[in-house]
Amino acid sequence: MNENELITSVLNGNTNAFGPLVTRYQELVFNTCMGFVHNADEANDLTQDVFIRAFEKLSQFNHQASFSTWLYRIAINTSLNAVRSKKSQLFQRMGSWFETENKAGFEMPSDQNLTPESLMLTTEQSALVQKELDKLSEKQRVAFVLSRCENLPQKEIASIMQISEGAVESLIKRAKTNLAKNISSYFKK
Amino acid sequence: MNCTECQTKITSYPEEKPSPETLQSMKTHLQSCKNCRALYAASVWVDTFVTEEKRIKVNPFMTTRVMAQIEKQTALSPNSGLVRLLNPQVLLVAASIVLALFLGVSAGSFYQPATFTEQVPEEFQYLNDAGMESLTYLINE
Repeated sequence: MNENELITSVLNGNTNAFGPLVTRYQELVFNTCMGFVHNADEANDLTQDVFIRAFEKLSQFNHQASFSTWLYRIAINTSLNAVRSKKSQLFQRMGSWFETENKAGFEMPSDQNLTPESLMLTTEQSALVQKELDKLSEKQRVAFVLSRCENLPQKEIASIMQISEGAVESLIKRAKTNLAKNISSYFKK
Repeated sequence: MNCTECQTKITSYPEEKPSPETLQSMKTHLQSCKNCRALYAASVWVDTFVTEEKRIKVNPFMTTRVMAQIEKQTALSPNSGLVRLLNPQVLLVAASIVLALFLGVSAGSFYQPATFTEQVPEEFQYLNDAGMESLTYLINE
């Protein structure tokens, strides 16, 4: 059965037809959620929520965009809501009050291991990148996640975010510049 | 190559891949410029972080998890047996049956069959049956 037939079958009451759709798109949804929450357990829970929401709202899917685009939108909204609610938790705020700045604390990597393949980030370094990723504006973050974590072309990102391709390009560029500048400020000069 | 050009090339990667010549002049610039080197190193950190995150795979039982949850929710949906019982029409019929049973039981409880209430004259109340002569004796007489 192809995608449209599966969707029609689910809408006609055959719940089991939703299973193949989950199997087909679980990686896509998981990677998107992971790009926002950076935690496998949380990303798995969010992936489940995304599919449940998609199942409940399937009758609203109007075939104007592809099913994956529609699913991406649900995944982004669900992830952003999770991130927002996490941020609003009191202890998170308290944590940031007492957060100590660790500026200029990292040695700059040497020439030999300056490639993503050879480099292994320590827990501290990963935490720093994650923190700086979380500081990006929501739009920059969405564009960055879809571009780098999902390797989507700008045209598809534009369709998902419902903005122009030029705007997507600008968002990705700004996200990368902000990330690189903010992280580089932690290196010992 | 100056810093602005180098930084633009760093942040445009991998969407815009530099030519071998540009790459060579970038390398030369990076060796002499600490700021651009820091920016490049930061970009590599981000790439590494994303690559590491991509290695994490989704729960292999995700489909089972989702389908079990959907099944659970479907069991509580408006078409399911349990919720159908809470339908107002069904509740009205059930209430009518309960009311009819209650009225029937109540009517049955209040009903008292007519009893013989005629007063027995006082002289008959104290008759000693044992002391009376038997009918057989009188017949034989």
